[in-house]
Amino acid sequence: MSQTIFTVVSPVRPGEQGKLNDLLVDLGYIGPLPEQDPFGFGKVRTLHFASVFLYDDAEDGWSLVFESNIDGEIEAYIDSLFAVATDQDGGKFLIDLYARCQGFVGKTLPDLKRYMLDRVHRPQAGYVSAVNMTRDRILQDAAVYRVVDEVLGSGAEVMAPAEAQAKVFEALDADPETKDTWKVADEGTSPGLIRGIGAVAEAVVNAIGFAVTALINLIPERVARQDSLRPDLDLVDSQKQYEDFLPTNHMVSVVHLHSDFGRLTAKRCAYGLLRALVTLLYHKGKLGVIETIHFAHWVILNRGRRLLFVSNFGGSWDSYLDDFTLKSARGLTLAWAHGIGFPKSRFMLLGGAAKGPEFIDWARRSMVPTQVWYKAYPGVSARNINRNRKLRDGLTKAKANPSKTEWLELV
Amino acid sequence: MGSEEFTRHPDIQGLLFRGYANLYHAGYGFFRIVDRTACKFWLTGLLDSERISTAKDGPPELGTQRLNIAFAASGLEALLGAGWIPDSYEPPFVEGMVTAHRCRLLGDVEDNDPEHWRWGKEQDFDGLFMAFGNSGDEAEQLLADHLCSDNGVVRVQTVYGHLNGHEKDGEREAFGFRDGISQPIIEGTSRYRDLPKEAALHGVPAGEMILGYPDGTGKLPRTPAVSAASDPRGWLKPHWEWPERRDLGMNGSYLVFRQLAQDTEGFWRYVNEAAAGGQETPLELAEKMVGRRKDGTSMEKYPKSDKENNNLFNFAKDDAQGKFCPVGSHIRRSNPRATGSKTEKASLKVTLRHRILRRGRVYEDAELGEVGLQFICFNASIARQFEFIQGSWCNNQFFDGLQREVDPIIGTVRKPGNGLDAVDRFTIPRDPYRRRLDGIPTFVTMKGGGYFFMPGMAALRCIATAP
Repeated sequence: MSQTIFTVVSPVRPGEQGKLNDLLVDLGYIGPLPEQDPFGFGKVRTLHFASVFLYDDAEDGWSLVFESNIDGEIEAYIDSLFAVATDQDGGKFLIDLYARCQGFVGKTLPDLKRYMLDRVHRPQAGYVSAVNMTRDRILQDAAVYRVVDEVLGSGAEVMAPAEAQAKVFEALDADPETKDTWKVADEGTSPGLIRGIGAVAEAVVNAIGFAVTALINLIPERVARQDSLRPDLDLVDSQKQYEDFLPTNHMVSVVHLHSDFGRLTAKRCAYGLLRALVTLLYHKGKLGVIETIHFAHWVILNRGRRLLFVSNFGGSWDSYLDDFTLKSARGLTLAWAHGIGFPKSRFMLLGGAAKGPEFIDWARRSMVPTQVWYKAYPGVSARNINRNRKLRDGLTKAKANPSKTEWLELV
Repeated sequence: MGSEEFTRHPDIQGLLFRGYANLYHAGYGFFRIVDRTACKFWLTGLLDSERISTAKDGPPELGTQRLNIAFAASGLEALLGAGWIPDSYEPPFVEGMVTAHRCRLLGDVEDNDPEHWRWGKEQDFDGLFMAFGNSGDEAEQLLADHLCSDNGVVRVQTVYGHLNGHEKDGEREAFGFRDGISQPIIEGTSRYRDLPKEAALHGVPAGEMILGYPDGTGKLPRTPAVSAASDPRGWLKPHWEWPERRDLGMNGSYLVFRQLAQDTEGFWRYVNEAAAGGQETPLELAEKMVGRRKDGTSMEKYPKSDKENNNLFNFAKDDAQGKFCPVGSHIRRSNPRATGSKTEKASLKVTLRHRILRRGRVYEDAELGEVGLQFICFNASIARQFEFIQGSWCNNQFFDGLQREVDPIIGTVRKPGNGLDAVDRFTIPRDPYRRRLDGIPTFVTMKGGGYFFMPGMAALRCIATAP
């Protein structure tokens, strides 16, 4: 089953943003899942990562954003979420929360569902590391890894591969967490022929559009002012107080865009290109050479004035930005060029994010705090998930052909 | 500037280029400034009498002494007064080593929580005065002579360090391993010119370690500034970023100090117990944890006898899986060199942005029955270099695809909590499948530390004379 990334963006009633901020922060969702889980995230089996946060816009005022990274389709997910809410408090928490948003006058969860579906934004471009892996599958694979790891033990006494393999099979068949699941075949990550052809067409169209618009926009791109301000220390502190509680972190960046028609068109082409590249090339757990991101996406909001970037990544923010600037600067420049104040770029590919500290400062200043953050599997990294996937694949191959004991190297 | 001149640069403090191999003993005095005027008078005296060692002095001869000085943010604020521009410094330096977030990042939690440090929890020092001599008494005498109320400063903490080895055998850290092998090689030095193979793997532009020179990006690193008003005598050059200000950072470097106690008994006891009943000897397990043989030779490719080439390996082609040098071992975490055959160049480029120049010494405190390391390193950016190595590599439980483990030597073991399992393992890749160590205790614990800036000589003049 393929995954879906989306946000629900709702304007906040004037004057309510402060109360919303306090209410959300007090729920204590930043570290581990709080015992009281009023959103019910922990009970929704299709949810990988979710977050709730606020940002503002000079003309539109404050918005409340509800980010979800899920298995399958949006409506089914909202139904599951609301089913949990119904069980927990009849939906009161969510209805009260959205009562602080403009345009929501309903009193029931079906009203809220309509309200939210009307405000869904799908990303201009997004990235998923474990393509086609459901949250259940990720947790099942982690259980397979645990069982295999336990059977192999410390390895002080070395078993012969065949003996180790037989014991592992036996344990996997006996363990209640793995016995019914470990032999279920993997869907794979290939986009398939039809989506593949579609993505190639998308890449070609957008590459042409990008080449033309990037050229046309070269002069505004070169004359745009670079903003080299350093982030206020206390702003950075206020953000860092929510970071590194877990080895996985969350980043929300809201960038102001140069939103004239020419540059916005160039951006849309750039995202079309990124989208196609992700489908065609980056579906195997690596975004270029970056292997730490679970889910990330860009979406243009506020009629082209704002660019929202949300990421769920492993490691510290500094190491993440280091990856950005040293390993994949071009891709990042493509995504963020024509942001107001962005480090000087050329053709939306060169310069920009490659300018190390200037880009890092700019990214830090663009960040808004995450008030609520949910992660379904905090103990595994994106690389662990891919390793577990390979392990299970290796085990099923070995089940069919016992001479294939190469999976032992993966543990 | 020729290479000979660079390592003898008269404006760079001597400790940057030299470990003072002939001066066995060091005293590190952490001081507070109690009288600004007297302190400035003392600094001026030190400079006029050329007592602060510079690179120009070259390697010290037996029987000589060396002094170096660095300041914490509070010290520069006190001495520069209105000329102190906090925004121009590295944020970690201004904030100090102890903040809630920084502790999480650096692994200064649980066993290493500042609550358990012997000193430095309050970061209540303004500077660090370092004295090198031939005996502990001599080092102490130097500290006592200089850090006194007549000079406007009081000592709040003293720790001592010494060298532990000799030229043939090399330095040994407290667990008994050879230490200090892998250092960055600075462009523009004779080492860089004479050792092209090493330089290809360890060479960094001077600006990675010393401010005022281009760094790995080819540009000048960010550097502390003072207002021109603080430098009426014109000791300093204009600042590259703010031309109306002056460059206080030129020829200076950020200095990280951490006193790290090493539980040598616990370490060897642990590897003895872990080795029982297995194929590997206790020494072999210890060497796997460190990532080097005890005598300093590399784990792979180069045979034990080839000591000359003990630092010429990388992990891209020879040891991608870590079957020689485990992926999670101390030396691989703290300097991953090049990894992945397809990403050899790119990964080396990344690593070279995260190197540090180490100048630490071992210590033995008979009174406390404690041994360990006075860890000192220099870097142009504490966040990008020291903190990155310590936090994003050594204490990252997801490092390079691993899980539930941190650096088995210097990492901070985590108890289960926050919805996560305990982080206390170490994986040793081998055939046919890995060896796994469990329940590793924290062997290295923090006893105190801080962030400092060691200015160049002209900058010291400015600090000493700022109105």
